[in-house]
Amino acid sequence: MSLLLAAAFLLGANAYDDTFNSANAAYNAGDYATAIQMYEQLISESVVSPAVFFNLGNAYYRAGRLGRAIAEYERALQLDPNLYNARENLAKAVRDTKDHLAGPRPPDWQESLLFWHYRLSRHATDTLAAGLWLLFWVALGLRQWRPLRYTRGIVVVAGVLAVAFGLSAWEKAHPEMIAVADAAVVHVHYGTNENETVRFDLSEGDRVTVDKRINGWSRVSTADGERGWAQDKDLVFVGPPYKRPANLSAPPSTASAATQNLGATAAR
Amino acid sequence: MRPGVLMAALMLTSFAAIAEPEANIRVDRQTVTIRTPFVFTLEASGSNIGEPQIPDVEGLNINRQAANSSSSMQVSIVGSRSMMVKTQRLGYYAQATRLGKITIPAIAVPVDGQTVYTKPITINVIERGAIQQPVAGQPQNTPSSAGTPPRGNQPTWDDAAFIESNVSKRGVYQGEAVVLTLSLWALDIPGIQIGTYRGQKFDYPATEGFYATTLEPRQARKERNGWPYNVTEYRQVLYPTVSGELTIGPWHWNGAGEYRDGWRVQRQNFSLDTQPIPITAKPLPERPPDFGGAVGSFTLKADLPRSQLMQGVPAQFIITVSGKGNSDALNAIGLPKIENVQVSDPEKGVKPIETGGDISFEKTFTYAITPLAAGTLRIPSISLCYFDPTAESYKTEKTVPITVPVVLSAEESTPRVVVAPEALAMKGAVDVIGEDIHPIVTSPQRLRREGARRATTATVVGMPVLAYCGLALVMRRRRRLEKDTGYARDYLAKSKGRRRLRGVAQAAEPSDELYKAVAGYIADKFNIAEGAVTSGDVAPLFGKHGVDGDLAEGFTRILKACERARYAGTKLSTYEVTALGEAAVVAMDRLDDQMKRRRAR
Repeated sequence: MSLLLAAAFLLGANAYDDTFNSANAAYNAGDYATAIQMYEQLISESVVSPAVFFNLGNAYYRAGRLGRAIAEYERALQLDPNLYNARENLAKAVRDTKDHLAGPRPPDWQESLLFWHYRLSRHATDTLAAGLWLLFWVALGLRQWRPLRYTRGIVVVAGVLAVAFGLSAWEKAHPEMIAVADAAVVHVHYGTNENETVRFDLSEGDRVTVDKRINGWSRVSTADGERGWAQDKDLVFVGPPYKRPANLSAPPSTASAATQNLGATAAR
Repeated sequence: MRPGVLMAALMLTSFAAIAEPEANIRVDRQTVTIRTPFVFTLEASGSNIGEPQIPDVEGLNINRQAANSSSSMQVSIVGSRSMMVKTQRLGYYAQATRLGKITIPAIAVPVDGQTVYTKPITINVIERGAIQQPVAGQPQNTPSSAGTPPRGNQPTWDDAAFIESNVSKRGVYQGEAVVLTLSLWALDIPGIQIGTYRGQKFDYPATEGFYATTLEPRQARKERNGWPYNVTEYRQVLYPTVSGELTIGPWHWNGAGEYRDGWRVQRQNFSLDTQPIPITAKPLPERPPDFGGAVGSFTLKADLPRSQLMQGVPAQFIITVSGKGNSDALNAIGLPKIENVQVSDPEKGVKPIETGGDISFEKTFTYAITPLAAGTLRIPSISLCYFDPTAESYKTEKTVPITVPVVLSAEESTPRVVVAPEALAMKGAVDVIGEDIHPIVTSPQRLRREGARRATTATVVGMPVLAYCGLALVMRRRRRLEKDTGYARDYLAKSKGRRRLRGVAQAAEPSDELYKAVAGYIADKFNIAEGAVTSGDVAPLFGKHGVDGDLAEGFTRILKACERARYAGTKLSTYEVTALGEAAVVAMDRLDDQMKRRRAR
């Protein structure tokens, strides 16, 4: 039974690798629409990997979908902040936006308290938190069984570190919701109604934080403090969760023309 | 004549010009309590001021001996003539002896040989002591209209504090400003204090459908129904963001009042509400394409502070919008495309201006513009389209175009390197590869599905805790077994007894061994010495510990059978030993169960 399960697991893993490699081949051939479809398929199957998001970001960038590309780079960086290429590509994509709007920053308390965790990947934080948690309980158990010389110190240190890394892991699993404008112009209104006066406009690729969502509307804030309501259909939510509804997986038809143009640029 | 004397004489003659004589009266407070002294002050101006003729006033005891006196002199020189004005102030103590309004009539004051009169002045005398409780059935804390006669000579707690909410307009266009004023009227008479609770947050009413900006509160002293009040006005400027019937919610105010009269203190809590205010927001007429949402009346000004610009050197270009209306809707004034100029994003600044009751603003957009080429820079006219609610039409404000010369910077004026035309031609053929994105990742770590994170997290978090709890329980039992002999004997009695019973068949004297096993079990169970258990001890021992009598009888029977064999020399047969052994096992099980049940109870 165990062998069967392991085999199924390995086969599944191979299928994901195959899809990933096919998507890469499509990308290299300039068929960005197919590449996007395949990367999105992986994501819809709950494959969460910074590489998939990074490559999807590139595919969207080449297809001329700046908003989506920025969202994917943000996702890749959420999972692995050390992904230098994703950081560079994100900066490049932001430079290509109309207003080069700065990205949202974490709250001040978080920057002060968790200053050390921004360079750690989500996987590393999870592993460290779990390991230290186990160490804390094992050390505590050892103290029950036979009080040794250093167990008390180990318990205290492991406990403090487990709490710190636990907090970091929790924060990484529940980051502030970021959304990216996914239309040429996204109207941000005073309220959740299209008839409400437009407070300001976002351009494609502008990043905002979302603090409230009601009936297809999101309350968004820019880095410089402007706030208002935008329609969900004009935004891409970075997540987590990363799995998107099925209807969003397919690349839009408008991408094809842009695909060809950018494909030509890339070939040059 | 000596020059000094001549000078003095000249000065004296020139002082012949004296200001018009006049006299005034004022009191330190308009409302006084009965039989409480207050001060009224007479003020007369002239060069020679005589004794004022204080009349008798019904209901008022006045001490005609001036309580205090002061004077001041002012000399003014107009042309060649000097003018001297002397002002004398005399303060008198007075005490009201009846309630109600008392008028001090005009007081005659001789000044410079003339008689001048003060204006009559009226004071309000109220009861000393308690503030009246409101009359039953009277509406509480509702503002009375100004001009209604006072209800009596004493204020009630209803008069002490009330609130009002007013708006500047009830029918407006979408985006047009409505000023909401929330007034808190607090009675201002001696001894009374009205205020909010310590640390209480001020809550503005609900204004759904409006964009609100808050102004600084202001204070004024007003009179209503004959009582003086301190009025605090909290104000918001509201802009309807949608058209239709909107409502400004009720304003709720909680506060407390305290009235001190000597050692007596009265306190009263207030919980006041205003009525909701309906506002009709009319939709704007069909919007012109360049309309950005500004509603009000605005003026537009463009300013380039420098008369000459330098190539490559940034300069400030300021657009100022001033007027009345929703400044928040003016997010950026679109700057038209200007050739050979780099324009930064604007820095915005808003300054609210309040003159009288009018609230306007001045909003500036400061751009940094950098000319990229020398020559003449022309900033075309900039326009702002807005809706004027007074004229009920759209208007467009335009700035005057600005033309300014741009000179070469000091470094550029003498170019030292000349670019060859061939090099310029080649420039377009160079690809900037550094600007392209980084390529895709082809060999990532093994791709796998993200599993059920919650289940994994729960397992990782929960398992060590459970394991530790289990270990802690085990260790606790172990420690108790080591330290608590009674517990250890009781805990191990059954297994030890059974082990001994298993060895009965192989023993040289089975009845002896059976006896020892059963007696040992009972001794362990009740933590007594093994030798102290005989068949005769079982029943009292079991009875003492509340064990059933039939169980005691069973054990007694087994022990008696063994004792008979031991002391009477009648050896037990193998069959009897086996039967007794089985009976002992059953009895042990029953005793164990019973004691467990008892402990559980």
